Amino acid sequence: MQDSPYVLPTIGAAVMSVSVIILAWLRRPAPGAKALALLGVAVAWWSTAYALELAHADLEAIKFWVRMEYFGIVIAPVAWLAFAVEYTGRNQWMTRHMKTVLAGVPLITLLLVWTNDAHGLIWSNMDLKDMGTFVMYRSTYGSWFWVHTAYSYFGILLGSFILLRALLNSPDLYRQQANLLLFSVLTPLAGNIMYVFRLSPWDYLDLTPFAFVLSTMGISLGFFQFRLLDVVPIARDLTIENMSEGVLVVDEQDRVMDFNPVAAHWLMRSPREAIGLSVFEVLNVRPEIMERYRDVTEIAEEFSVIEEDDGLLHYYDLRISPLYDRNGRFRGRLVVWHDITERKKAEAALRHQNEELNALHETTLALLNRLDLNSVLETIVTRAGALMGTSHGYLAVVDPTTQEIVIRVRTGAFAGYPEWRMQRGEGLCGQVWATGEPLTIADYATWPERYVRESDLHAMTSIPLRSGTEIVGVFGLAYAEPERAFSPEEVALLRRFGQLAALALENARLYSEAQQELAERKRTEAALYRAKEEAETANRAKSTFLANMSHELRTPLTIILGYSQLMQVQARDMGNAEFVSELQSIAAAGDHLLALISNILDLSKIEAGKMELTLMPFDLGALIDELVAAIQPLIEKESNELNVVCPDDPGSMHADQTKVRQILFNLLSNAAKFTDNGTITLTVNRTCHEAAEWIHFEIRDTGIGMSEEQLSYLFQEFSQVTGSVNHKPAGTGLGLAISRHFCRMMGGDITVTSKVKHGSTFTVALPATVIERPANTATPSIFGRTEAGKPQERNP
Amino acid sequence: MATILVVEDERMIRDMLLRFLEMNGYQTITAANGEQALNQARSAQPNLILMDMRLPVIDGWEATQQLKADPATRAIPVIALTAYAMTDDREHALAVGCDDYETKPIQFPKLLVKIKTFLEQANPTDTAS
Repeated sequence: MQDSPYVLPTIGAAVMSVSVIILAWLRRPAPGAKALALLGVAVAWWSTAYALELAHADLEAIKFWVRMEYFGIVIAPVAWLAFAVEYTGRNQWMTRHMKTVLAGVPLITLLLVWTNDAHGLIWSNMDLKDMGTFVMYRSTYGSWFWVHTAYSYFGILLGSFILLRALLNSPDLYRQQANLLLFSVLTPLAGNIMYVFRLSPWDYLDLTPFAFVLSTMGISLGFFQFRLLDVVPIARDLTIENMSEGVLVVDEQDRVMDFNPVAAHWLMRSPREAIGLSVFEVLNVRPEIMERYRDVTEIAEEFSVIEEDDGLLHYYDLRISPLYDRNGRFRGRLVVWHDITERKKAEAALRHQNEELNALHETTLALLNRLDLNSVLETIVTRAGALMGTSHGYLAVVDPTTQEIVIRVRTGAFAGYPEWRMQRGEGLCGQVWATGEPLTIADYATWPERYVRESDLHAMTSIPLRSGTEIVGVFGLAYAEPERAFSPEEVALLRRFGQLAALALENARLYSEAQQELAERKRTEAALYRAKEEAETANRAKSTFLANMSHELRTPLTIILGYSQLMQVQARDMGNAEFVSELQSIAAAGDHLLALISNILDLSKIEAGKMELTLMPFDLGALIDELVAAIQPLIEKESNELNVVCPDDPGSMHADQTKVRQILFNLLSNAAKFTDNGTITLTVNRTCHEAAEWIHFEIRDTGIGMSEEQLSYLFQEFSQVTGSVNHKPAGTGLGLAISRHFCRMMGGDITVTSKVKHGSTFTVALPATVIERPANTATPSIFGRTEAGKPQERNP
Repeated sequence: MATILVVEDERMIRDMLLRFLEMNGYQTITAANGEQALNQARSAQPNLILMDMRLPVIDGWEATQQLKADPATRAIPVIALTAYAMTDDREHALAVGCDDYETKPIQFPKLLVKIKTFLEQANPTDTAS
């Protein structure tokens, strides 16, 4: 190994080349990129091997590396040529055959290089030249070396020439690219010439790899600065060759100057035989172009013609433009035409699609606008017909009550058909109803199963109208023209109209159902209102009746009771004891009647929610004293004894005093009535429950008591426990019911325990302070309805 | 002898009241409605009025209110006669200025005590026989 000053620059050249390989490879789809990458590989190889050659001082090693260099050396010119050809768009030159030819010389060179020792065709006199601190290889060139050199120069020069030509022809836009490329390629060439012909200032140093460094740098600059390979100039004539338009160039004397392959195909002539002929002769086969060409120098219009090769109508776009030279002189005309049939077809399809959407949109709008059902259905039939180009359409609806399908809308020839009703499976309509599938008849006029015998209609299609799984109707169109038929696309489109029709029918059904429901509800409401009115009227009538009745009853009773009193006074005065006792009976019966009337009135008030509480504080002791005094005659009547168990000062109470008195009087008088020679005990005490004070009144007797059954209806209105002590009617049968109502109104209750022959105990629990509650809302009626069940247990 | 005005639209009750009062030695005059009652009270100046409340033409409450508003009749005690169960009637009666009330059916002994009391208060010297 040795330390040559040339090693480092050579390695630098290799590195630069590698960067070119990478950059070119990244752009490999671009024309010329792969060839450029190959060039990079060749130079990199060459430079690397050369660096190793320079680094060695031993002749054998140097010889090895020199040989290695040649892999790169032989490839580089070829790769360059390939790059030039591809870059300028002349790919067609690079045939397989051409590639083989180009590879021939380099392959022979390589073979000779590696077998040089045997024949010396490449080198002779290989030795080392001492350069002072290092040695360099030198040799005398053999005959094949010059063949190789000439070949290489040829490749490089040809490539350069191609690029140069492109440079001269290229628009300004690409000129910088081309300049750069040319510089890049001429540099290695110059370097090589200097080395081979010993013109270099540095003896024995091959400048070619260094020149390649410059060239690769130039190319790298091109990558970044001028988007080399990104934007590639394309030959103009190539463009015209490849255009899908027919292009024809005519000179001022109407002679054909040029035309492209498309035009050649159309004009049925090859350029070779047509160029130079009169344009009128050439356009003979295209009269449609010729007649337009004759008239004008400039035109842009479309025309259509039936082409003989496929027998189909084709659309063309024709443009004729005048050509002027730089001095503004008329030099001829450019005729360009283009087959636009596909575009026309697409346009027509789009237009048709738009019409479809429009028709669907309009029918949807009709649907949304809540027109009446018939006009919606009519819109659907006529719009669908208009889209298909027919006025003959119908729509029939299934009548669920008769299980028939009934014609609802008829247009065109269908209007002349009889108004039909069909069974399931009958005719086209009935069949579609039965199967639920669209059915298309190619010729209805001759269809054996037709419903209408005499028909002018031919192709006919019918679509089921589906609501959920149910077929609610059938909708159809027909053509009167025998040659027309329904395509699957048309049937599919009609299905969409069918969906809209089904929706309209469903909406109408729902609407009418809703209407019915609404009417039903209104009727129910009216009935309820009437019932309520009647009930209220009845209630008012009842209340009025009761008030009047009590008044009417009270007036004669007042007289009866009054006179019985007055007469008692007189009878006593007259000493007639018998009269007195009889008059007392009248008075007692009257009193009973009065109590009954009063109770009925009380109950009717309770029931009407009109019974009110008059709350005020009162002394409990005074109330008890008053009660005892009032009840005493009744107690003594059946030889009973009254015990009062009460604290010395039972305190006061805030409640409705009248009602409390009435409750206690009622219970005490009941106790007296059902007890004979017994004891009646009234116990009063205060308790505390849930932070509230309660007053308990317990009325216990030792009387006849009650059975379970009797207890169960004890508090019901008009229920009376039979068998009072003296077998007389025991009371009004309302006292307990009223008492319990009163207790509950005040937030308390009455409970009872009893055993036959062992007496009864009634307990009244009332809050010490009664709170006013909202007006009694739901008091069970005593008339007609009675409160069922046991008294509510409320025993704090 | 004290004169008592009986205002009552029910003839039989009115007759009964007259009989009761005459039995107890009072002079009586009568009215069948509120308007007559006002006229009688002003012209005859009775010592006491027994007034039914539910009356035609002018009812007992209205009539009492007018009597109590008139200085000429203000001093005459008015005992309202109301239906037994009609608590409202009673309170209403006291509110318009009735001096007391009794319920129908009438407890004559009780009513007699009240009449005597009012007459004694009005004229301690001229007590009824």
